[in-house]
Amino acid sequence: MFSWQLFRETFSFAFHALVQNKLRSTLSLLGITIGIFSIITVFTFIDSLQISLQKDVNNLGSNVVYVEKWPWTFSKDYPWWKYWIRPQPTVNEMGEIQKKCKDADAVAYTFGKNATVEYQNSSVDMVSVNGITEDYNQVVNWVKIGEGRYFSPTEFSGGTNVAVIGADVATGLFNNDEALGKYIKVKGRKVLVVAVMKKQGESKISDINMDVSVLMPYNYMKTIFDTRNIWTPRVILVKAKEGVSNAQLMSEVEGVLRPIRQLKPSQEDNFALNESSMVSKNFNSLFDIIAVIGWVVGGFSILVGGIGIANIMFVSVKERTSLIGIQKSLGAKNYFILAQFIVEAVVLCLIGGMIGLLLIYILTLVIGDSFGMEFILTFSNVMLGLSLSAFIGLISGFIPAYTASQLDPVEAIRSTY
Amino acid sequence: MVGIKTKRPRLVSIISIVGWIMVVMSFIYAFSPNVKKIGEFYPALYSFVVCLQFISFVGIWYMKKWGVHLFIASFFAKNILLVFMNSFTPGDITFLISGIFIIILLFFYRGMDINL
Repeated sequence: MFSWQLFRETFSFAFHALVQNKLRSTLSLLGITIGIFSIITVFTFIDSLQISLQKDVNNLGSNVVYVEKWPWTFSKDYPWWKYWIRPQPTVNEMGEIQKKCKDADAVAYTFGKNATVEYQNSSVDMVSVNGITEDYNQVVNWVKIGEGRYFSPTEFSGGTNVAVIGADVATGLFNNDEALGKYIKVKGRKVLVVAVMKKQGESKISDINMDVSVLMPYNYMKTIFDTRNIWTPRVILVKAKEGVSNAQLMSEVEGVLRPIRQLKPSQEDNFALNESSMVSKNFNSLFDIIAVIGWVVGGFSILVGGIGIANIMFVSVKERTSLIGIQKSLGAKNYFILAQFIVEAVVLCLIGGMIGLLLIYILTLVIGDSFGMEFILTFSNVMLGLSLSAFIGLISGFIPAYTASQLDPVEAIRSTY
Repeated sequence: MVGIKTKRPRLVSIISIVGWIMVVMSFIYAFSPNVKKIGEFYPALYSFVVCLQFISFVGIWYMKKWGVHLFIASFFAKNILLVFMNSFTPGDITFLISGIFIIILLFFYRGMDINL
């Protein structure tokens, strides 16, 4: 019924009609362009942010449980005073978890303070100085050594004054000179630089920025900073073994910690067990809201655009009534006339959609260049934009096309429009 | 207009108007973030079915038999898709309304035109 030749003819008729009315076609496809641009820009923005945040969440470790005083997420009316009086996790508790947790692959402890780090006349302020235990680099993904080596077991146990420094700290203190083997000053104490980490950039979901961090063995760190200070964040990090879920690990850690803290069965936990999915869940709900807002705003533009296309198609049918009459009297079937106008509307909308997508692509390049942000127009969003345009064309063009196909050839030829 | 002109019963007019309103609402849902989350091609598939429903109501408006055929086919296609999307609820108002529409349309089916 609908051969290739028929399709070609239909397309050619539709194309000629669009080319003959360039200004009208351009103006009528603007609505679709704006609608597609609005919706797909929001989706692209959300997808790009999600990809970027997922990288950060993966960096936190999807199979790592963080034992802390404060939970990462709060409900609306959380009893903050309960968290306030909680004790901080200790290095002894870490030892117990290491001994008793069978599901734990590696366990580490860290506590951090901000301090100024100096080398000769240079200094870097607000550096996050972290005291860590031996397995820290096995638990987290962000200890990426660029030059030098990680601490040896003897340096950990003996509390040697050695440090692994972040890329920005190295640049700030040594500029482009060699940092390895040099002594920097942390709180007035000399510390030997044994490694410089690779540049990693700032995390979007946490305050971790390894570029402005210094790592030192915990046993040395505790000699220069007060570990009892309540403002010092302390964390036990527990990494699950292969095939062990976070829920299983959390349950085991809870079972180990509760007796250590002498909690009765009726008492609540006085520690928080955090995991990276808590952060991503929070962001996902925020993205859902943004996506819905984008959809509503773009949806209205698309609706207006669709009505515009329908209007233009009605005008087009009126203008070509006598032509339709001639075509029908020469033997054109109803479906040929129908297809001709539908193709015209769909092509018009597809061109509008493609222009919208092209504008988004240009926007991704501009934002990528200007702000250094990864902004990706995904294949699924391109497909979404194109199918949305095509279906809008089909819906808005069908009634005018059907009206045209049902015209009486004699009456249509007589039309004086 | 060519072809046999069949007088449209008032009930069929109401069905067509309500149907178009339902289609507009479904079309908005088709590209919503919820459907997008299910799979990359679901919005396109779902909106294609919604388009078919829209077209079927045009046919029903003009008292064409193909309109009823298309509506029944798109009704099944849409619900099969909803099953795959885990959104199928037989007690849902749109499901019930569509079911009632089919019964009414089948009642008027004999008086409809067979041509395009």
